[in-house]
Amino acid sequence: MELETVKLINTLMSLRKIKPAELAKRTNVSKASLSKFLNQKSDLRAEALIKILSALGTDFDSIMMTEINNALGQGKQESIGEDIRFLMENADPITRKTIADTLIASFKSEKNHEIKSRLQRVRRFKETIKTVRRVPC
Amino acid sequence: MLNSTSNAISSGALTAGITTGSISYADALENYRKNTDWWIVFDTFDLNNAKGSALWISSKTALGVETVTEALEGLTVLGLLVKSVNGFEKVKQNFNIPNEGQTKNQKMQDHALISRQILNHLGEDTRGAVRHMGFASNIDIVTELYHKIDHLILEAQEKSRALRKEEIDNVYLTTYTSINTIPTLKDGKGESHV
Repeated sequence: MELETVKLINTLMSLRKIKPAELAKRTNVSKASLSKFLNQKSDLRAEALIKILSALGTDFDSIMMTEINNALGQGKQESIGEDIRFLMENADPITRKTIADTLIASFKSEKNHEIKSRLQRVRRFKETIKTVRRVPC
Repeated sequence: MLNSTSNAISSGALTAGITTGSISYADALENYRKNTDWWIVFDTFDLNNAKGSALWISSKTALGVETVTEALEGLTVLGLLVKSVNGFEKVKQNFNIPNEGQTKNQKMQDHALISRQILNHLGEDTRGAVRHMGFASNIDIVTELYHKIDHLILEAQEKSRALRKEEIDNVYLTTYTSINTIPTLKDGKGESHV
């Protein structure tokens, strides 16, 4: 297995706080095989690797599906958040600021902690929007 | 036109009133045309005891000092304000926005953007008047409605300009929209002319 892939799997385990013993248990891969793999001493069978990726939240099937869609010219399946982000990035700054303000105004009386916290991020984003360019004197 | 693909416009530390460069006439015009924050900043000069300082205007409005500073500088670029030892001063009441060549679609887009900004000020602590309604009608009645409202808005602006400063209590924004919802016919019959 390529060094980079093993590194990525180790990083993902660390981020998801999954220990090798737990991963071995979830995937029915022996602790010894997994340990050798993570220490780059041996490879894993394809089936075991797919199980490991899946247990770490990397859905192999959806990655394949996305690639098939791309090859068929049907584009990537992106989330609505990515679509909104793309549209915001392509809007002129005054429109971008107005959309951010509209979100802030729509939820300004909201008590829900998560909404308030996300709204705070929108406020910070809005503060970064410049509607004028500075021309050096 | 403004850069529509990036926020990466050099800004400088404006909160301290320090700028790193000047605002172009095109950007100032674009903001004066459709950024109502700039309208608010400009109109605060008509308030009683108005001070032409970014900090004072920011404290009176809900606008950040950086936004106010940009507006003050941009309005100066347009010749509506001048900067003196006492801060900014209003020197012109009107500014004719060149809009020849604007397509109907651009006008509609600008109106939608401006109206959205105005509606974003609505809230429990807002003083104002709202009315919304839907009814089947015809274009002649809606055109008459538009002309009457247009006349009343201009009349209100004229009356407001005749007020003494101590009689002015706030900066108000107004928008009016009346639109058809069923697509109009291509043969001209029933086509909108509002």
